[in-house]
Amino acid sequence: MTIMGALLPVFGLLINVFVQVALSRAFSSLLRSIFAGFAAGLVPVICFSGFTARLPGDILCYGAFGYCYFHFLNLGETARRIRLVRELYERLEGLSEPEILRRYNSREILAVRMARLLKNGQILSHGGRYFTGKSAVLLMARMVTLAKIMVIGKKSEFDL
Amino acid sequence: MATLIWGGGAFLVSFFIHLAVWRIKLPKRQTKTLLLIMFCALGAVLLLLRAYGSSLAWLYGLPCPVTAGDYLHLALLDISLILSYMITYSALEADSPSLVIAMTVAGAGPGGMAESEFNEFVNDDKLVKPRIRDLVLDKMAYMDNGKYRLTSKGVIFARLFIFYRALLGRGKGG
Repeated sequence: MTIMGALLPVFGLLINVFVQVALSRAFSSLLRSIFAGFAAGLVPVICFSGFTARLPGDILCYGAFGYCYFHFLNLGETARRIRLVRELYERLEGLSEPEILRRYNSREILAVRMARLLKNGQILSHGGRYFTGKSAVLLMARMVTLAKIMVIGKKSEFDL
Repeated sequence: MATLIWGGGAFLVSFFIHLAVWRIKLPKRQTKTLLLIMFCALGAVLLLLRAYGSSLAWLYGLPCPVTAGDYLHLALLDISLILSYMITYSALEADSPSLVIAMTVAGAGPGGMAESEFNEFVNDDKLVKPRIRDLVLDKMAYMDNGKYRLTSKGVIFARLFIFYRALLGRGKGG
């Protein structure tokens, strides 16, 4: 295999990123742009692999890079650490803990996520009480908890 | 096929080494330790193939990389899997707020959970303060006269995400 041939999944990723950014700017739908970008990068990976023995490796490699890119975008969208870094960047002279919590706190974090979960029907609100709705997020939470127990040996970061 | 066997194999070996190390003791800087284990395993597999690749192919009939492109292909596959696992691992390391909400409400049973009770249960101590401590642990911020300030690593991170969010035409996030 040539060096250029080996880099095929990386070229696929570059196409993915380019298409995703262009679509996100044009249509402002992040999730759709992610799917479309991934598909746009996958097509040349499959075509140039030429349905040979290298195809599974190329698809796996491209898929893993695509997964990383999706999570990079997701980090910017939802990660608390990234948001905190941005808050500190806006005040390079520094922020005390109470100042940070005035700018970004659990109320804001919960409001955004609870609104999303209520909108998607994953959580139901009735008579001032919350109930479990659809099971997708709960199932995901249980799978993540299982993975935590297997890898880290505890259910939550707060378990001793 | 050599790429799948050796690239995937290098990842699996490093994954099981990581599980074994984590069983003995959870490292203080988990991400750094994980990267170290996984890239060392990749380096070891590349060296093994360079030194004994032709013997392995001859003795056991295993497909082995031959050209520089084959080695690069193998390394890229392993690196893509390592990066994917690193990102997934960060979700295991810290509790995701959405998943905490789902588990907390489910944990209350069929009677549900009062909104006020829920707001008391999930607070800054669980959602924000640990992430501030993570920034210090990961050397992205430091404490100076009672104030948290960004290190140069933190500034680079902030600029990267600010640039990319602006490129996508999106807000602050979080």
